[in-house]
Amino acid sequence: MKNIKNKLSIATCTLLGGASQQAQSGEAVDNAWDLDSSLLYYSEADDRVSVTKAMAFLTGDISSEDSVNVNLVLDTMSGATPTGAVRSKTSGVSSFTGASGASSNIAGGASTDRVKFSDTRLGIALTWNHGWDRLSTISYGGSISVEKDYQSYGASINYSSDTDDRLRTYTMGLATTYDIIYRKTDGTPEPMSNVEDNNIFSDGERYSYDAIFGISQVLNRKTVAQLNYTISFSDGYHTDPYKVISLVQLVGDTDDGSYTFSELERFFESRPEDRLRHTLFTSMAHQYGDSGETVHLTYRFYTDDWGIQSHTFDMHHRTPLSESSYIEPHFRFYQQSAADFFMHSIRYESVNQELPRYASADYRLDDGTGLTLGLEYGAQLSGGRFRVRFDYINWQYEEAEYDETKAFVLQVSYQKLFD
Amino acid sequence: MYKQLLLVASICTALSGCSFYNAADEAFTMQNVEPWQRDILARDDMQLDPDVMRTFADEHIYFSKEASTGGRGVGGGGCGCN
Repeated sequence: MKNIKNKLSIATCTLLGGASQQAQSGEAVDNAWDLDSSLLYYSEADDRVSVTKAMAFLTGDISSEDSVNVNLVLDTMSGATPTGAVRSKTSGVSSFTGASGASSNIAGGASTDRVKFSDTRLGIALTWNHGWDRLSTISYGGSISVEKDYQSYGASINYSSDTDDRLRTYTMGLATTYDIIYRKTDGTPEPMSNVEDNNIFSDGERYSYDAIFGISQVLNRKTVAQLNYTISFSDGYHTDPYKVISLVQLVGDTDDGSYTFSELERFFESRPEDRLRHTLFTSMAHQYGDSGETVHLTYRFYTDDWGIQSHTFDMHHRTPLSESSYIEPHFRFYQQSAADFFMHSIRYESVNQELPRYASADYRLDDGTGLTLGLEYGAQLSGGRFRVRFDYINWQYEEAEYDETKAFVLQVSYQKLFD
Repeated sequence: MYKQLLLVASICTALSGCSFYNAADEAFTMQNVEPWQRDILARDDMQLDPDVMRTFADEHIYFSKEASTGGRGVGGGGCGCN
């Protein structure tokens, strides 16, 4: 009963960082806790990355005006990831320190355009939601994420306020994050230095600051919509300490496309020391039809000063199968432009040619599109909620050496309600 | 001129007859909703984020593979994902 009352009072109040429903003021505490748990398996084709993710989200009231969220995440990652180098089986690079947590060096003569890695990540996030007054809520958040070669510490504060009729909610939030980046072997390589020189600098540090302004509005009995604007600025080390870029000479006929890349040297990549991002996010939930079908639509526009622009369209369509179960197809389309400094490789021009200040061959910074098709089944069980979903994802890139990534996601979740 | 107006009127009439137009019209028409009329809006599947855990996982996956991220909220930790 408590949950239903909460949802009635916060039908428009769902902006706060995706936090689950918060207790509103003026109600007695009746220990309404719920625990959502999930196991997810992500796997890429061609023996690329695979990840097992275990999650537990605990939500509960600690007083009539306060509630808490405790989120725990444990990721186990392994596989092989592209380094950014061109595909070469006979490069002069005899060994290469691999990506995140890599445990293997690759012998001379072997392919080093991909490296094996394995890593474990533990993430903890705490949020305290406090009823400021009858219409307003303030939330304080803190998070820690640790893996073998990356640490992240975050803090946030979010404030939301309903209008008197509770049909509109205004939200404002601020967050800051401090990241420490290093290779498993400690330190970070000198940007744009030759891999064989092995010039190692100290650990990388990055400070990020985010601000969000949002509004959500009940349009009618069956529709609620949301609009968010986010601005983010980050300062410090943005380079990926494992990624490299090849200096190449073209061999063959470039006119008819029958050429190959001959790798001469290999350099560590280099990215700018700061980044300014803007994001416009819209979302809508709507119910229609005699059987109570719901559709969730989101659209996001993103732009930053690295030259990247992206459009993301996402749709979930839920159809009830019975009073307690549903089926939900998922469609997502993503398109991004390349970063200004993205390049497949550096072309050889002369013996002492000047290298660019910033250069990256990371496929994730290339022009590209992503398509997701998925299906979820959910059922309400006694005292809980069960969901299982399968998503297939295909990313295509324009120029990157590895110009396609295919992956699937399998996630099984169960939410236990303690009333 | 009259033919063009007739054409526009015909297209509008055809559109108004289709279910898509009706659905969009129903979705975006602003109406006052009294507190006792919020039963549908209070449903789990009508929350703007109906599955926080699924969204969290998806955002991590797409953050790891795409150059852009965010939009729903601020806060939370980063990672050095490949």
